[in-house]
Amino acid sequence: MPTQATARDRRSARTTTKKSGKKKGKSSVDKAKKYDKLKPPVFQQPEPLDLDEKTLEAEHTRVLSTTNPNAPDNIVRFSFKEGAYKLESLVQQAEFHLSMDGPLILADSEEARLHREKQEEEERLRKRQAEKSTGVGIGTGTSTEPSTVLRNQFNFTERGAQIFIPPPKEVGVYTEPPPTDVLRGSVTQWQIYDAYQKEITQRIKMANIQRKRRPEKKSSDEEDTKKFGFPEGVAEMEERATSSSDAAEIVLPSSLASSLSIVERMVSQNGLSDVILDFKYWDDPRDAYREEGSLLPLWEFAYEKTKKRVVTGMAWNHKYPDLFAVSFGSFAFKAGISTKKQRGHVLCYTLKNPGYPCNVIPTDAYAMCVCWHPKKPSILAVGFHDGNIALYDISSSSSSSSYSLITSTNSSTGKHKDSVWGIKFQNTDSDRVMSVLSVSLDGSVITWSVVGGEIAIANTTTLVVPDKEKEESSKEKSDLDVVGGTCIAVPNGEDEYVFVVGTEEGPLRLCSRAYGGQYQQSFMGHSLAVYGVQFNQWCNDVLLSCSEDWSIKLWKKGRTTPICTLDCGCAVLDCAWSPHSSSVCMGGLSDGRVVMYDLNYSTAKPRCVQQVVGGRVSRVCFNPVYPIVLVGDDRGKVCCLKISPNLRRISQVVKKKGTEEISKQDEEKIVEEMERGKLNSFISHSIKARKAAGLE
Amino acid sequence: MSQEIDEIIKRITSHRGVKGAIVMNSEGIPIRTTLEKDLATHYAALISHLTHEGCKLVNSTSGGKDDLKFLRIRNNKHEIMVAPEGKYVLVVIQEPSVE
Repeated sequence: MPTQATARDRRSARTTTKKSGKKKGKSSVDKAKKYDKLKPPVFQQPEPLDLDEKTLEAEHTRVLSTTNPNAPDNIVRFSFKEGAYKLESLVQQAEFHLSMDGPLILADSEEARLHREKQEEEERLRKRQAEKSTGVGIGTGTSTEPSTVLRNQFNFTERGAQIFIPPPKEVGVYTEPPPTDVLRGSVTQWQIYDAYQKEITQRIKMANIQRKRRPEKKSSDEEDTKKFGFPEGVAEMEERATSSSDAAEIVLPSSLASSLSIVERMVSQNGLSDVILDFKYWDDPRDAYREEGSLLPLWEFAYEKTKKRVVTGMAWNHKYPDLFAVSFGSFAFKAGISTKKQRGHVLCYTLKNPGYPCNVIPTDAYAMCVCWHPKKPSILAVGFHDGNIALYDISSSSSSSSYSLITSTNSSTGKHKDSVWGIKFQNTDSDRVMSVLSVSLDGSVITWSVVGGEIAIANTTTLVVPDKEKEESSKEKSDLDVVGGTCIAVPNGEDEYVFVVGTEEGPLRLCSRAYGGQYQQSFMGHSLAVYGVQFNQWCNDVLLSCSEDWSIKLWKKGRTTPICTLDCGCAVLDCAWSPHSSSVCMGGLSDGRVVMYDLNYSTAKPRCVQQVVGGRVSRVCFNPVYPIVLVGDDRGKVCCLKISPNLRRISQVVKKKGTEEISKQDEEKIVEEMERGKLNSFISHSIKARKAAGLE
Repeated sequence: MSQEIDEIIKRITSHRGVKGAIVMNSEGIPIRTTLEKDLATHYAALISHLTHEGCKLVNSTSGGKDDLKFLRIRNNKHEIMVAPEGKYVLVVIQEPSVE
């Protein structure tokens, strides 16, 4: 729009300039306007002219001519050709209002070529820059740009400025010097030596004090204490404690002992797991049908302090079938007259911890026999070599030791004059009163009654040779008639007054307390000392005895001669009935073997003969519940063996189809009856055989 | 009595496969040990936690009428037996498979 306006203005200006030739006053104003138009075009609203309609409608005619009215027509130039001034006829009439160069160039002109070259050059430059930027990376592309970013070369100033640099200066602080001291000395070899000597004497002194504090500890324990060291921190603490008070070390409470015993059992269970599994589960089913029986060795029990002692007695606890007591002493007669201290031991072992006895009862004299109370499982009776007996309670109610002495005999209460070889509890009516039977080599059987902590002799039976057995020549009474007793047995049943004693001479004497010292019956048959006697579990009138005369004999009450004799080939030092079968019995031989007979199977051939120990078998014992036996030898070792199934065949109740279920009690009764029948049938058969053979 | 206990500990450690025994107090500080000091401290610190948790379990399930007596940790190589007793805890480490 402004350009249009200017074009119109210019036209009008031209018209006005044409008019200006006529009206001179207006031209100066026009000039000013013309000057204004050089200024950047600004849109200006033209002032509305004050014109009346007449003038507005009036027609103006303008004719454009080719002649320039402003062109001069009187230009005179000197012509040297003619030598006179001449009027210039050719006057430029053209007047340029607008001159503009066009963008078009001739394609084949020099200018076009130059232009093209320039363009190509620029093109190349641009390409190179693009390559550079892509080569370096997009991020740096902008940083390389500055070469292309051109500063305005006209409106650009660079201004340098210099700031003030402060001159360097030093800052220091002076302090007081720390106090110094000069120390001087000389170290010599003897000084070092003296220091070491002092330290050593100090240590010895300390060690002496420690030894005094623990007098029982031997010097051999020192190595152990080294191995069993305390952590350093604790040791320091202890040292501090000793310096402040007399408490030597942290005293562990005795309650820890029970945990320790549990842990010990656990540890031994882990260590001997294979033996335990054998004990519990090892059974060859074929063994039940095999002729030969066998004994599987399980544990061995040995205690350091009883290594050279003879196992003189063994007994399983009645209530806890894994607990048994062993007494250690000596059977030798010489031991009685030697002046040496005859320290014996009674140990209580449990199968749960075969490594170490759960109770250790050291005794002043050799322990010769042990017996558990049948109803009170913690009470143990022990007979000694010096003729005394003692009762112990091994329930560890008191914290100080694992056993307590209930009572013991001494010379004031009365005692045996020789070593006690057999001890048994007798059933009593009262719970408070305990009755103990003991038999000794001095030829007396004493019945002790124990009430509370008091022990007293209730009855004494002297084992004298009755007159009718004596030879004609020596009918007078003498001390030589008294025969030492070696073993004793009581029946396990109601017959509480009866007991049987084995003697040194051979005969077995059946006595009853109800009849004082009278013999009820004598069993004559053994020619040498009897070492063991036992009542059968099922038949209270059947006895088993073993003797030094190489035989085991079976007896029945009411018959003076043996029912049968089992010849073993060497001295039999102990015998026992099996609790697993009424017809099975066992004997321990002096050559270290154990024989087992099943009377129903054969009396000539043992079902099992096995070498168990190297020395002599001194005691054998069946476990009442588990199929295991204990074998004690004369070197302080006790072996535990498992008996094979054919040696513990107990009668089976055959259930017929259609019959009612048999209750457990009934079943037990039936089994009992069958076992009794088994033994009785053997006995009657054997008696018949003996009669047929003409032995009776 | 303390001497007897020491004897029992000695006996236990003489068993087959037993690596060591620790008696520690309820705070997990080993009082007696047959193990190396570092190992004992390590065991004691870890086991005291476990024992504490076990005691809590037993106490809470029984309404405070029962106590933890024994803890047996059987792993492939070892068996750790823990017996808390009052203020003390007994720990025995055994290697049962050793021949």
